[in-house]
Amino acid sequence: MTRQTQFVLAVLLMELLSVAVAIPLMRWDAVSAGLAATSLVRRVTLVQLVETVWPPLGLILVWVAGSRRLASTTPRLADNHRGYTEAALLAAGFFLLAMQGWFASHLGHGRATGFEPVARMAAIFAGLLMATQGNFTAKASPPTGERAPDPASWGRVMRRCGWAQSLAGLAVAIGAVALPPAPMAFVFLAAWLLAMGYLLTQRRALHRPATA
Amino acid sequence: MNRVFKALSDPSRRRVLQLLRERPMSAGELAGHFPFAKPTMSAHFAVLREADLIEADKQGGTIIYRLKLSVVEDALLGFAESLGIGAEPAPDVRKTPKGERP
Repeated sequence: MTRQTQFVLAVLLMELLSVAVAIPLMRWDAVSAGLAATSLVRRVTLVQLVETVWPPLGLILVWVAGSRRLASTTPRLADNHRGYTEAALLAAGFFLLAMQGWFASHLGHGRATGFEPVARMAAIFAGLLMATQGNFTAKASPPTGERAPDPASWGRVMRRCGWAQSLAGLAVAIGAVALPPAPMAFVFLAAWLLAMGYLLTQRRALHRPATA
Repeated sequence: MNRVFKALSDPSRRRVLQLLRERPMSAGELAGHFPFAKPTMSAHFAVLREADLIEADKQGGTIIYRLKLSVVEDALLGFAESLGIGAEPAPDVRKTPKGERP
């Protein structure tokens, strides 16, 4: 991972952590009331006040996963593939920042965020990110170095995975905009299963040496 | 994107991409499918490389070309093929009987 990407991710994480701590402190009256309360309504308010904690945790998760993938040298991912992966990490970081800002603007004023708009917003972003990443995944050059896969089979696998990823991403984004909650959940489940399938296929292609 | 459209507007260049879809090929192997002179083929390869639709890998004295299409570019290639944009494609000389090379 380049130093520039690491720097931007570190700044984003610091900002996300600051807001995650600041919002419950700003609304300490509601937090203490929620802790002491026996009523469900106040407990729900307490749960909402920690919503700002999820975005920094999400960023840490994608940062660790991305770093692991980029750090591998057996084989080493091609430069353009590394670029696409880093761009996706940055896009995810900025989305989490926007999402947390939205939570914070509601919670800071004591308004409820509501689950459905948050789920839809997250799904639209995740779908568009999947579709964009799939578009470029198909173009990724084969990895190089020790245990590098056969370039021909790598190209075929990545093209198929790219198509699957892009179509699944578009289905998720369109589903999040157009469908009611129940069918939307089925679209997400199908897209998630497809995503697991192509991630496993990509992993197998990456670790299938040319001279097996 | 202009470069991509320019590259995909020519049927011969689209045929090169279709051939590379099967497997990576050397410049000589690809040229064998077309009735063009080497400089013409080199010019086609240069346009495709400039549009970032193929990548070249030099192995010894041979240049191996590999497909490098994003999903959008792949879809555009499909559209251009189905609409038949451009002139008639150059005939595949490997399928032409001996002595009738155009």
